[in-house]
Amino acid sequence: MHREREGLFLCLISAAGFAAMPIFGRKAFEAGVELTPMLALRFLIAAGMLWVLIGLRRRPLGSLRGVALGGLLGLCGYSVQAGLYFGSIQRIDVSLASLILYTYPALVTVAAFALGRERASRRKLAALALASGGVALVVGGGTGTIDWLGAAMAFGCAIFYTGFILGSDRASETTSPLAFAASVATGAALGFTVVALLSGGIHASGEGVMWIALIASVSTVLPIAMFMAGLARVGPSTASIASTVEPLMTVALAFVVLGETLGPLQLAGGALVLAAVILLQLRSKARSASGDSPPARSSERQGSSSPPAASHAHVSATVSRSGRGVSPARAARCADIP
Amino acid sequence: MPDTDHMITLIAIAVPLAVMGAVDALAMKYGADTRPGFDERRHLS
Repeated sequence: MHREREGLFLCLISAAGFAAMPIFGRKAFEAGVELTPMLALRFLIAAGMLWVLIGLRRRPLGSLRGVALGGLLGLCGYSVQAGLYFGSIQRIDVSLASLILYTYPALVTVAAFALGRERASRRKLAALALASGGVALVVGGGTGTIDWLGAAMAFGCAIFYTGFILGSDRASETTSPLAFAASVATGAALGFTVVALLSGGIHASGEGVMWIALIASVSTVLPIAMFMAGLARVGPSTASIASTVEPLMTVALAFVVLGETLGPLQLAGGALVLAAVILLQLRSKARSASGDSPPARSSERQGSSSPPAASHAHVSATVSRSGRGVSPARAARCADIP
Repeated sequence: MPDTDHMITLIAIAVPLAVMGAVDALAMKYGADTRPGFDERRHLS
């Protein structure tokens, strides 16, 4: 029990770190940093931190092919997703953007149906209906006018994130989580740095650099590691469900720090989106309870002949082959959210 | 350099270093550098 409580705490800290990311991003914009230099610095710092952590103790990388694929996914997929997300919070409230982004578990489920990796079930279809209705309320239920481009960018981010999650399936399978996260961050850093250098260079005020350093450390590297540590103690389903507090934390932080408020209909829509995510997760939870136990310590895990199908990284594991893993939601987030 | 600038510089340097220390400690204690199902012995580069 103590072990599970500890794991749950780590997962909640992870969610808080991710939840703070758009707040830090907004602060960086307010400090005069532009989008491309901000993301270039964010990924450069995060990649540097991750590679130092790997090199410091000579931690294993896993397959080099996986690392290379991670870099490619970071360059072509994750960078687009990050660009759309931070672009959206320049135009719409961060609470709105985070709730729209959180439709990605439902989108992954749709993609899994389309790709034949999962079968449709009443529960999943109900979750999709909840998520769709929730987004409609979040976007259309505001009292003021909405910036449709900003909302579209947030939804585009969810779509790209879905693609990234599905695409990273095989790449992350044979690569150590920290190494995969580092390679994704490196690929994204390369892309944003080249674009920033070609379009005027990388400039940021001291305050801007501070907010970017907080994004890279508190909202990227720390939550990734916290989630992995928590996951190892409570198992993927509990970890995924715990992570659904993330958009709630973002909404709360946006209210406290930025003074953002959502209308009653938007809050109801957010509740529907979260209900959909939880509904998707509960299925895995029930399966875990009936069969899989949370993974134990590293040595035990290594010795296991039948490791749990759902690892932390990339839903892929979820949606994919064994079909008994976690739902797409947070499992994906760990290695992929640098 | 004004105090605010000192504070900003301190946060920008100290927080990432603190995070790296915390992550390293986490990895040592909880195995945060691996994940369930990943066996580094089978996938050595």
